[in-house]
Amino acid sequence: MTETQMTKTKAPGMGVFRTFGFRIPGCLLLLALPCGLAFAAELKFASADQSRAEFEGTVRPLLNKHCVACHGPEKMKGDLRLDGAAPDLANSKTRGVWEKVHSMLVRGEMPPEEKPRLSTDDLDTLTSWIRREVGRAVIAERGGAGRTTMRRLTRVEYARLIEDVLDLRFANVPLPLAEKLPNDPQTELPVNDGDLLAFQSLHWRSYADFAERAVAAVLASEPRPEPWSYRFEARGMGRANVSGFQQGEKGFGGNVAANEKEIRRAAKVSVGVTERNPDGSTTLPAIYRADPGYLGRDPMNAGSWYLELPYVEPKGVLRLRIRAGSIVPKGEGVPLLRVAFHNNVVNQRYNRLLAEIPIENSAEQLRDYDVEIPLELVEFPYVLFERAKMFGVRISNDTMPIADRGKPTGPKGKPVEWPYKESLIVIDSIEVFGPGAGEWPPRRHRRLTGAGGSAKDDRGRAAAIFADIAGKAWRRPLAEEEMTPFLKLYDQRRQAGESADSALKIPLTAILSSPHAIYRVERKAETAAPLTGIELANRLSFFLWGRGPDDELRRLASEGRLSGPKTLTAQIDRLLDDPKSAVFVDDFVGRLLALERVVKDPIEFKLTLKSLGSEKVAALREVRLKHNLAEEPARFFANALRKNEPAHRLIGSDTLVINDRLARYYGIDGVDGSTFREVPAPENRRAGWLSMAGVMAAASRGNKEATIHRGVYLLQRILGEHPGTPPGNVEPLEVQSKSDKQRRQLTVREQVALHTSLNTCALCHRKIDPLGFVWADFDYLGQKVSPPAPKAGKSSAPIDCSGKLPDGRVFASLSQFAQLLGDQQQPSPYRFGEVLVRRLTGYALSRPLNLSDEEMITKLVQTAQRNGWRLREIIKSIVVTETFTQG
Amino acid sequence: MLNRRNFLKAAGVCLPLPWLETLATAAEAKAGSSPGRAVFFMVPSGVNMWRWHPKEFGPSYQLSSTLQALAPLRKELTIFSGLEHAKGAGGGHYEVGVWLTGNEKYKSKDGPVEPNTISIDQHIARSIGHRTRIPSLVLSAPGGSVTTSFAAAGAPVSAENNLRRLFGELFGSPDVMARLQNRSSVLDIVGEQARGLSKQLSRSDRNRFDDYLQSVRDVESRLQGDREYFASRPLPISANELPLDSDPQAQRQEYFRTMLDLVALALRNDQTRIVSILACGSGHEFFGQWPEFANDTHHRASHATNYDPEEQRPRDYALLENVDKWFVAHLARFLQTLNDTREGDSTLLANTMVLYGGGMSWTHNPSNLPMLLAGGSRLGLKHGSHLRFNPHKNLKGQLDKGVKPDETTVCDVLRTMSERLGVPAERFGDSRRVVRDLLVG
Repeated sequence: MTETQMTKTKAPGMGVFRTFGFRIPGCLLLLALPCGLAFAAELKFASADQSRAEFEGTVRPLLNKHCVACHGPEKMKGDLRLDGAAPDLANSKTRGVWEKVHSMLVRGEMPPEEKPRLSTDDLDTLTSWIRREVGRAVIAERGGAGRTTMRRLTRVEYARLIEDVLDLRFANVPLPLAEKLPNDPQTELPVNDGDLLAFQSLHWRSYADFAERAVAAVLASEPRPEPWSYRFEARGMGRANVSGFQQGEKGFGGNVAANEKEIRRAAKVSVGVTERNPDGSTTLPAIYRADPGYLGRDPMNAGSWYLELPYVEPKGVLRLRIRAGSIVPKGEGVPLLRVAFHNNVVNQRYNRLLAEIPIENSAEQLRDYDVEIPLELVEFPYVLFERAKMFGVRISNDTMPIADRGKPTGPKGKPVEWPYKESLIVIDSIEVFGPGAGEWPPRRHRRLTGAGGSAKDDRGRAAAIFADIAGKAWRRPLAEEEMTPFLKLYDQRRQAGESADSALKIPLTAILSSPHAIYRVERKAETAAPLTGIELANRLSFFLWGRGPDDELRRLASEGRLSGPKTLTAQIDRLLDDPKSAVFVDDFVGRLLALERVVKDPIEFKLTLKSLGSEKVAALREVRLKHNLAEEPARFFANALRKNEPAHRLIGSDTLVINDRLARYYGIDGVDGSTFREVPAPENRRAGWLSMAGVMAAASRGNKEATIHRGVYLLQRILGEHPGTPPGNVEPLEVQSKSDKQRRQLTVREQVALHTSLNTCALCHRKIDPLGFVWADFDYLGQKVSPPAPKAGKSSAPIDCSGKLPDGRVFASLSQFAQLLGDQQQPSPYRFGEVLVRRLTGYALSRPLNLSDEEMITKLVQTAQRNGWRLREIIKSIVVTETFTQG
Repeated sequence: MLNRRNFLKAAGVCLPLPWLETLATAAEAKAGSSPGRAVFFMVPSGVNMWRWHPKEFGPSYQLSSTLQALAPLRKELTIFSGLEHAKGAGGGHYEVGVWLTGNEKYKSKDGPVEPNTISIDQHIARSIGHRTRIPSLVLSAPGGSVTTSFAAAGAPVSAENNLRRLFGELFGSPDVMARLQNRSSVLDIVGEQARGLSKQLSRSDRNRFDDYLQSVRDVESRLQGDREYFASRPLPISANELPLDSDPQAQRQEYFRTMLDLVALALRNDQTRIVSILACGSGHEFFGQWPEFANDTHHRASHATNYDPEEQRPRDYALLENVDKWFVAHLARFLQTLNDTREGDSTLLANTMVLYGGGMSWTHNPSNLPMLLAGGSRLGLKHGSHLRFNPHKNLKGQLDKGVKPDETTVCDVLRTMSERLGVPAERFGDSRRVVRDLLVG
């Protein structure tokens, strides 16, 4: 086996099998025999006894001859012993060890150079034995070839399920409900690997607590709270002293009586540092401007409307209706209206952001913005409000400039003449409705209990409600007797004296914490068989929507029509066209490209000097920029998916999908508004994902010298090969160079070479390092860097971006690199389309791929090539595979 | 209104539950001895190494400026220098998964991708956890799988981070009692359903689904125990009097004070004997930001310092020192509380070993770990000294990679603690010995 052949073997970089699931080029087929039916047949017929006999007969002598001298009782190099009886590969740890043995053998890393090599036949004997046994063990664990372990919902999926079933979406108030549940393992891909999703008692308790809390938040089983509502008008508000704002008495305010005559309590409003417009409305300037002492999320009333509402039990939904519009100067973004709970008591100030609403409409056409605040589901220390006997709500203009702005300077001792125009928010009036206001019982309660509307008695009503909710939560049709225990529980609660509504609570909690809700139940036989219609509907909709099937899918499933290839592909198109497919797009792209890092890593953006000299403004601008950077690759993918473009377009495209903030970042003119849209790409941003600043930021991890980080990232995520695990105790490049004067003299390329010159390190680094240079002319924030200034008498040398792929092909620039990977014709394990097929397949199946999947992957790649690598066709071909449609 | 600082005292008065009355085994009651406990309190992400360790070794050392708050308890604690894991395990952000396991192979900073090995707290709890109502408390500010505690199979034990739930778990409340009742109704139904479902699954899925059944059984049996326990006792304090909804970052002060108070109370009442606490994630992800210190990031500062002299990086070292002192102050208050709590003829601290520290010293370096051990004099521990291991290394830990074969490691200390509680831990992690310097006689 030659060097090049060996490096062509490739790992898809997924979970346990990453070092193992390689693709064998055609010329090696004879030698390796892993793909195709022969392999499946082997699996079926080799019994455990036969395999042990084979081990004793052929494998063990080879191990003894070639390996045991170093990996035996005497030396035990690498803590590995290969003497002894046949290993038990059903044990996952042992299996991991043998997978490593396999990959070292295949890559020719073992036996080491100075030792006698294995003959090709012997190598084949050894590796095919390991492959077969490992494959058999894994498949046995899953219950058959190509099968998937039943799994529970991830915390994100479960929270989404509860949101769907109970309608827990509130106007303009996003709730990070999943964060109330225990963290799931953070794997690169796929997150929903059933083999990793454990379930412990804390999980059960958290899931049940969560379900109970959500039911309680929706079911209005308590007496109706006082139904108050207030209307705060800018017009007619008197001058007032407003605490905490700078210029003394410049503010408005007053007491407002409730709309309902029988309500005696008045509410209070104050509006600080603002102007009154001729029509009576108020204008809110950006908060940092109104309040130079602006402390991030802090406290003052300056530049905002501050409402003091009567205290109520924190149950139900508090609603605001804000009549607003915006004034946006050219080149600026639409302002954000910020709504927060705000306790304004000195020493107990506490502020919790509830809503951030972009105000798109002009101030000439005011519009109503609804804000629904579910009190039970918003984490807030309500005891503060209870003590103050009121609810405080603060509404401000939290716009942050998109354009870079220096600190305004003025003559000493005099106020600065503000040189900039900012986006303003005009507010005309705000209406507030207490939890008891409006129709009673509230809308969500009526929806939850709606199925019981026509029942004759309470018990019949309960039965209808349970069947309705269980059908949604369990995502399948029900048998009538399944509801019996829940009804029995309902009867008990009634006998204990609870009301018809209140007695629903515990049975509903039980329905939502039932294993049928928490797990994706597939009733499998011992051998693989087609899934039932509803099971297939579930797989499909979890794949593309991250949630259970909708009515249409369920109907097709119950009519037995879903599994027809035509219907199935039509449904895939429908699902992808639906906005709910954003779940798939965001999750898949975010995980593939590790975009979470852009938001969470402490990357220094150094925006202070460009942000009015204020660290706080810089911090907030940075947050928004980071989110946009992290969002761009997903919006780009969504656009390509919508237009059904070929896979390689993702790494080579003459358009970008950006919004105003990103356009500024890339130096592109003429893009207004925060919505992402497709625009022509400038010369240096035509490699799709590979030329996006967010991707480079995720790859560089905030490091100025990031060649190795970038190489690892590219190898793993774009070339689809696991980079290997570094030994502990190795200091990062910049630390090495800091502690060693001589190293500092070297160029980055030389430093990298030195860093990885050790033999053991070179094994992986010879693949990693040459990739990392491809972005040498971009900094860690994805901005183009200019070559260093020419030294006296010499001309400036352009930045060297050359490198080579692990298979030896060289590139001189990013565009060449993208072209090599994007080449659709030449078969290569690094061909981007093929990498994407593997990624999508693993994601669709919710598990890492393994050897038994190779046959399917080969076919999928062929199909993809036939279909011009079009993204939707790839997805469709995955869904119609037997592996996907069989349980 | 009740002063929060007096919470423990007040709670103690309301809840006179010396361990003897409650769940102590008959043998312990007979012998009249107090049970031993162990607390493992980890603060990751590195420290200001110029100011953490005392300069002198042996019994006559001077406390360093960082550890000054521990001065009143000097006699009750031992400070370690040169302590680390064998083979340099736990480098960088692997520290959290390695601190209590010593597993040099654990390399999964992003979460539990590969199985770890059991952590010492779970090792101890496996043997003696059944003696208390709660076998072991696993707490961490980030919660979930971000924890120092790993079960026998190597999966992280899900950590609690919600103080309100912790409070309810420890002391019950009318709400909790009502919920227990509701909960058991729910459990009855879903348990029945799960058993039915299990029969319809293929063998492989059934294995996986056993997780669910087991979790239901666990919750059921805990529930039963809790109901009996709470039914027989009054509440120590109203949950409303405590800042149980404090945010672990925005209200870190209240959060940790309350958490440690609750831990002290749980130990005092012998509700549990084994506690692990993780202060934040290693790195920037979980609560590494410090609003009280100009919103700076611990991880950033730790990165920036390298091995530079202190005067070169005043701002970064100052942040590290501030954070170090902040946690040491909490530790000091916690130890003082234990020391002030009488138990039989000694104190709670005398029966509780508290291991404090981190798995990183200098920038992402796992050598010369900042660690100290307090309490446990009644369990045969000898204190009052600054012990030095690996003396061939300099302060920066740079002279040599790895621990010499005859040197003491973190696991040796863990093993010593475990064996003080009567749980053998021979060859735990990389351990090769009991640390004799820590033992009386």
